[in-house]
Amino acid sequence: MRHGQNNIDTQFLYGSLPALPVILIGIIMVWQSGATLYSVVISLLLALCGIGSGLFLWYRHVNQLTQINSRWEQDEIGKIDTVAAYTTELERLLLTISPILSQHVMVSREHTEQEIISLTSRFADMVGELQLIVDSADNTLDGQHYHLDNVITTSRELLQPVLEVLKQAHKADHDVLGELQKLSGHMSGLNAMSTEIHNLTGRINRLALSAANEASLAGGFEVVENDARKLADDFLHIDQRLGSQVNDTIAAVTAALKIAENAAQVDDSTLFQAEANIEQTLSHLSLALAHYRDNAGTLRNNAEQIRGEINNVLVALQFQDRVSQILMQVENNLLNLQKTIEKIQEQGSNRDGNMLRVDEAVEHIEENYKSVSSRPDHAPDSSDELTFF
Amino acid sequence: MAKTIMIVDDSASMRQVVGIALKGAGYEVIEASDGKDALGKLNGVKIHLIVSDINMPVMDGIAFVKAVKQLDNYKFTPIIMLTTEMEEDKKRAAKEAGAKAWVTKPFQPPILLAAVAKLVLP
Repeated sequence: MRHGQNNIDTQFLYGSLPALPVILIGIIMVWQSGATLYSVVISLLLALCGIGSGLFLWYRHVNQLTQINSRWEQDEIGKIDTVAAYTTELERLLLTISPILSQHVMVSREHTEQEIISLTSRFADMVGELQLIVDSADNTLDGQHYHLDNVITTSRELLQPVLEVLKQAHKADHDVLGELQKLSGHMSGLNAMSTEIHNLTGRINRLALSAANEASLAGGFEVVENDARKLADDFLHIDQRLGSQVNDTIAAVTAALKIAENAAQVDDSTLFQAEANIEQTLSHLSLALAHYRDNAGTLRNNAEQIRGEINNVLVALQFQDRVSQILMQVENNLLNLQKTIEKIQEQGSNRDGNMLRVDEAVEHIEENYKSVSSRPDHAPDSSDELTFF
Repeated sequence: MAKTIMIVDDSASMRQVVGIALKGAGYEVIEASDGKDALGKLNGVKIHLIVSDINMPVMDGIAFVKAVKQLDNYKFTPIIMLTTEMEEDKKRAAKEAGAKAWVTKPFQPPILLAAVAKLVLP
């Protein structure tokens, strides 16, 4: 009704406006030439022409407005169709992509967890191996049966009797040498005795010659002479054999003495060298074992340090728990988004933007994420770490 | 004879890390992935201590503690909560449910072992 009234007013306005100057001209003409029939008719004609012109303009204007309105409506319908198509495609995209993203997140989470488990297991094995090294090093350094000092002491105790035996053998050699030297002295005595027998043989020979001379002068002592000569010959023979034996014995004893003296000198040198070598060997062994002990200690400390570092890594790997929780939140959020869109789609043309409840959904997501992400990335203080109730 | 400890956590990697720490200290370990799974695995088995997470699917840690305290054979079994949660409300809820200690993740194995050694049943 109001629209119709406006239309009439507008129509009157458009029709009256061109007529006003014409009517005014008519009034002026009537006023100037008087109220004659001619002037009145002319004025009325002019007024009708003005009204006709106004109506013509009005209808043309209305026609133009109708055309513009029609084009605008067509444009708007096109835009609405475009937005509807865009919304439909956007929903389809979200519905298609949400499960895929959710699946990717889940697979990534599971793979990460499996790898972390594998890594943790390997690190745990390494810790076990390092513990064995530490235990082994501890046994090497502190074990009763393999104590390095005991090894040195035991070696020294085992080698000491060997040295004693060698010394006793060396002393026996010296005793033999002494006896040989005494024997050599006795040989000199025998040699002197041989000389005396030789002299005695000469005297017996001379006595036999004297006896022969006496017998030739007096006669009848031929028997004594023969016996004396024979005795002298026997003595001479014995003297020669004894001299030969004594000389051979002296030569042999002298040679043996020389050999024994040389052997004694070699033994002295050898024994001294052996003792020095044993001491040096034990010293080297002791140094080597000391180095070994130092190295074992270093190895133990290094193994202990590495074990500590790996334990720290094992603690750090617990971040996987947090990562899993965050990824699970992402999965759930994607699934919730999918369900929300599906639910809204069920409303068909009745759906509107308020059904999304964007702010509420974002607040919910932020709340869930905050509960996971606000936890510390590192180990808390020891006072917070353990609480007994 | 080694004492048996049950680990309840939905994270397999966390169960493994806790298991390594406990086995290294000479304990035997039974694992469960949530409260319901753990209740199913109790089943008359002698358990000297339970280490449980709080945030778990199916049955969370607080509900699990309450359920354990209803079981005649396990109502005196000490329970340690091992969790990333730090809110006082959650701590109070765990205490009221019957938990004996609270250890926060990530945990240092010596800290957990100290709590276990103090609470484990003889």
